[in-house]
Amino acid sequence: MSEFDVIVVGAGPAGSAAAIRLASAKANVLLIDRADPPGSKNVSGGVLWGDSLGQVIPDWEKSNMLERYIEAKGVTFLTKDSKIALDFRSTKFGEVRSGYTVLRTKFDAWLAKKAKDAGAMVVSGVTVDKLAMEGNKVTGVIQNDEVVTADTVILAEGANSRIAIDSGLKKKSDDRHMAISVKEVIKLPEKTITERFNLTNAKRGYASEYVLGFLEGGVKAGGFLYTNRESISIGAVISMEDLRKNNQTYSYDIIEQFKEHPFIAPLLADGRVEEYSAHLVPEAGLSVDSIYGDGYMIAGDAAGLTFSNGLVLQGMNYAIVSGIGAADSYLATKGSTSPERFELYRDSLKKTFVLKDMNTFKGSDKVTWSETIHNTVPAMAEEIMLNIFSENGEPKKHLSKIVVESALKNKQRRKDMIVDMYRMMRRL
Amino acid sequence: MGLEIIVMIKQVPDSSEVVIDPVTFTLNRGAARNVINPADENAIEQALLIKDKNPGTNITVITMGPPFAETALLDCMSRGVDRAILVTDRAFAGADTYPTGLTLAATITKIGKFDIIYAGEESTDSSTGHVGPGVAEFLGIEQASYTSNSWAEDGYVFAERQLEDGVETIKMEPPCLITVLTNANMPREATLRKKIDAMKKGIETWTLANIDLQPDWVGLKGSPTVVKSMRTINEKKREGKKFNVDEMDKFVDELVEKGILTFGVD
Amino acid sequence: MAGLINAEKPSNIDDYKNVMVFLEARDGKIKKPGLEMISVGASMAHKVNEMLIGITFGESVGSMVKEAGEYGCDRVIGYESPDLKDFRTLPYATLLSDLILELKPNILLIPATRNGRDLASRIAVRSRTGVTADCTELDIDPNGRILQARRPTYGESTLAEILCKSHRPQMATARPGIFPVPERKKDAKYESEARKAKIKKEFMKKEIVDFKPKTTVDLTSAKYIVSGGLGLGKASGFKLIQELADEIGAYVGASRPTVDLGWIGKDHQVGQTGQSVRPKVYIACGISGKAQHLMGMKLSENIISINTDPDAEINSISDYIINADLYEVLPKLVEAIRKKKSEFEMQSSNKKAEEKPVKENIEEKKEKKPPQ
Ligand SMILES: Cc1cc2nc3c(=O)[nH]c(=O)nc-3n(C[C@H](O)[C@H](O)[C@H](O)COP(=O)(O)OP(=O)(O)OC[C@H]3O[C@@H](n4cnc5c(N)ncnc54)[C@H](O)[C@@H]3O)c2cc1C
Ligand SMILES: Cc1cc2nc3c(=O)[nH]c(=O)nc-3n(C[C@H](O)[C@H](O)[C@H](O)COP(=O)(O)OP(=O)(O)OC[C@H]3O[C@@H](n4cnc5c(N)ncnc54)[C@H](O)[C@@H]3O)c2cc1C
Ligand SMILES: Nc1ncnc2c1ncn2[C@@H]1O[C@H](COP(=O)(O)O)[C@@H](O)[C@H]1O
Repeated sequence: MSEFDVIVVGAGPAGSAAAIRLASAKANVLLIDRADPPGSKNVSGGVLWGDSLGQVIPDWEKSNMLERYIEAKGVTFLTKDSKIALDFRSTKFGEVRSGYTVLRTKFDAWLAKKAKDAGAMVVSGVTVDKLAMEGNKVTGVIQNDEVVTADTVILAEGANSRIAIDSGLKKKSDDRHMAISVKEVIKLPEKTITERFNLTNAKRGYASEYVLGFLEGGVKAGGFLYTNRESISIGAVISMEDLRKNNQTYSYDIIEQFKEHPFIAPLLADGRVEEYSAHLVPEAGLSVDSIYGDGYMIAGDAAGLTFSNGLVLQGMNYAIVSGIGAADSYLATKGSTSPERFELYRDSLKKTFVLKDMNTFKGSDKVTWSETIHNTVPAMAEEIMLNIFSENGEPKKHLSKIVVESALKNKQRRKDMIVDMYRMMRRL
Repeated sequence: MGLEIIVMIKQVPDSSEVVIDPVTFTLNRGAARNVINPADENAIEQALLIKDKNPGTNITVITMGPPFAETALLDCMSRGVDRAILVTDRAFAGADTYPTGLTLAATITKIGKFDIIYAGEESTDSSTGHVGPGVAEFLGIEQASYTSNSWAEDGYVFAERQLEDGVETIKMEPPCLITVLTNANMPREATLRKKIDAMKKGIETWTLANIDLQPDWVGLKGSPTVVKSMRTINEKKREGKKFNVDEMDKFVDELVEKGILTFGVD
Repeated sequence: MAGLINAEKPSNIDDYKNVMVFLEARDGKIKKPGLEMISVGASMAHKVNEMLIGITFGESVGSMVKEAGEYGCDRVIGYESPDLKDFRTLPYATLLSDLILELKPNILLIPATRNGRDLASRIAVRSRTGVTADCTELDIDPNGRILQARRPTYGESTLAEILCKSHRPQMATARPGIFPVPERKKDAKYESEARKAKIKKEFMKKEIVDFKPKTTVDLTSAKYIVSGGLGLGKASGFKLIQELADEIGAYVGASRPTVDLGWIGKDHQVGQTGQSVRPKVYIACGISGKAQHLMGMKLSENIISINTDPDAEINSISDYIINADLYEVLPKLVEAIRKKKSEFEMQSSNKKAEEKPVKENIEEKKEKKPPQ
């Protein structure tokens, strides 16, 4: 007999959601996180898109862990001198779920507490060293050379997935599929934020992704900016590959350049940096050959279930759904000893939007890290806009002419441009 | 031969995160995390070191504090302490060192037999160092304060006291109380196995009713001292006057002129 | 032994009069923190026309009683017995608390040294009263003769005033190095009394089996400190530090990494995990001034920084900044001081520094110390 039904490694959104689900169904579950309180080392701040949390915490929207509900969503291209932005606001964001900004250090601790309240044993402040295995079967976890056994282990250890890699459940991701994200939380008064971003009230927020088309050395990076109740989360995502190529560029330079941009700096004026963090992000799609095996399932970032291509960063919602999926698969097959019992987990993810999204975005990194998106498009857009809006006494050109001229000037072959544009439309 | 050891610990706000409310003079714990008082961690470790050497030793950790001090006790158990008692009651609130010592001494009396009581040299939030020796006085036992090391041998307890002018080695008969210096040792880390065991075992919670003290003897009512006021200590404004390396004579002149250097005349 | 009993409010509060001070001693000499109690105790007692009563213990107390009187006690009581040679909690606590019953002092001051605090904790419980620890300001309110005991709290950020209105005596321990040592007057008038003490056997069970005097005096009461940091670059750099220290009668301090590297002993470490110092002058040589270091020295009266980095954090809390290589600065500074001193010596008498720190042989400190 194992000591626990399930051991969940990692109390991020994936692990805690799994633990809440399991404990609510009276399973004997142990949730372990290396940080104390759980989650306190996790990258702080982000948008929790969708309403997947409702599946485990029905009244989650009443929680004061949610910072602001997104009522304004932006996509912004920045060049050295200009800003071209899409600023989407809709009263329909009342009916259609957008998302809430959250501060992860608080939010993750709260989720873990929910798992505890549901009856899970939550142990924080210890790092699991490795998995206990009998042949190919995972039988528990090991720390300090002591084994704690479980019928099933759910690995929700986040993007580094050191345990999964060390145990041979997962291959080390190559550079191309990894990005470095740096982020700061900048403290500002609630009222200032509401005013600066033209928000309806203190409960409403703004979120935008940025293409940073102005970085020194042409480094390709995306940025994001989210409003919390009394702070702004701002960050940059840089592909590891690109960072290596430009080995003179450090990730913190990039966030500095972003923050100092003439159209960003005023938004942050008088703010005080409260937190700084750097984190590894797996990009675009499934990077795990198999997200289950005999005695284990992998959930959340550890399974590569993130969508982040430098423009959009999503992972918490996928993490939650996959955590719940793993929990449900355990519950549905409880008692079975079949090594293949967790096929169900994979099948269930296929049915949900998680794997569908992953497939949709498969290969999107080709576009999002392309030269076109990061350098050509912003430059072109700037030129086109300047052309349209400047009054220089010359007769107005037709828009299509402006575009073609600009493309030629930017050495963009018409065919390539069309291909990239097509890819963008399709995949973003 | 095993000993019976009691360790008194206190949960304190992490000193690096505490802010004082300038209006109410209360501790604004804000986001400050609660941790085990640093010296008490060393006291726990000292007790565990004795247990390592004397198989059969039993360690009980006690704290008087709010219910959330449970986490501190579980933390102690996760390192190898055998039993934990939280003494908690609304009546204990606002205690200064006298009723704190009294409450702990009454708790220890109820626990019964013990050979050594360990405490920290002082707590970071009240930093008096009075509670430990106070308990020894209530119980009428010997004490060794400010120790960097202690051990049990031939039925005696030995302790090294670090004094301002030297190191004193003391030999006492149990039962006795020992206060341990911050950084006297390296506290061991909790392990997953022990954390699980601690959670399964849980802690005991006692209230005023368990320790036979009168309600007006404890807490604020039982405290002889009151905090009348608090004010922030203004940090001195520093000018940062610069001298370059070739101006040392001028520099020394200024120091002497300002009475900063006096060469033993003061 | 107190037994499990509450603090008691005496009904006859007005009977409690005078200020009593405990004069901690070793080897027949009152120690500096004890003498400091006399200045602050006397000023309070005299403010309300009361007496300052000094208490001292020892194998024989004749010279100490005289010392206490000449330093300013109005009345001195010395207890003597071979059993009182060294500080021991129970005999000391018993004699002192019996004396409190006998003399009913309004205020009792004890130096906040380690033995002082050890004793004060027990006296307070036995006398069923309160005690304020580690005070840096003490005053008496002439109306109710209430002791206003002020002490720093929360990492020295705040000064709390603590009162003990309805219990007697009002007790405080006072931080060493804060209150001045009074002037000694050979012609001072005082009452004195040496009492032979009989100590019960049961109080003598605690044995002091060994005492190793420290080779370095603790930094907490040092008036001048010269500290070295990683900027020294090597263990032998501390020789330069010592040289400057010798010149101005200072103690040697150090940042933690230099201690960790074994360049100098742990008892020299200043900072969060070392000693908290507040000398008149703190000279930081090659120390960057990280928060953990500052925590231990930022209350120094005067701070001098010698650092090659103009933006070193320590500079922001320095009164004087010498932005240069310490290996260049220190010899020149020492030379300048020597010059100044010889000018001085020609002018004034040959008054020596009151107290010279014991030097530690830095050469022998090269090895890493084994952990305790
Ligand atoms: C800068 C940045 C911004 C982002 N913004 C957003 C956003 O706005 N919206 C969004 O939806 N997503 C966002 N994401 C993605 C999102 O953070 C992740 O997808 C999500 O956190 C994944 O959850 P998880 O539970 O799988 O892993 P994690 O949240 O990484 O949690 C893993 C947990 O496991 C613990 N752990 C790891 N190893 C061990 C071990 N050996 N033993 C014990 N515990 C261990 C860790 O302490 C951690 O708590 C962002 C990511 C980054 C880096
Ligand atoms: C939990 C914890 C507790 C700690 N406790 C303490 C503590 O109690 N005490 C403590 O000191 N530290 C403590 N530290 C360490 C502290 O954080 C710093 O690392 C340490 O104080 C730095 O020591 P330093 O200034 O000597 O070295 P550095 O930070 O390396 O600074 C060296 C300085 O020397 C200057 N310099 C270099 N060469 C020269 C030259 N030729 N002439 C002049 N200047 C030169 C440099 O510009 C630099 O400013 C603690 C750390 C932690 C994490
Ligand atoms: N409330 C408490 N519960 C248990 N032990 C305490 C408590 N308060 C103080 N102590 C112990 O007494 C020591 C000295 O504390 P203090 O006198 O507050 O400086 C601490 O290190 C603890 O060991």
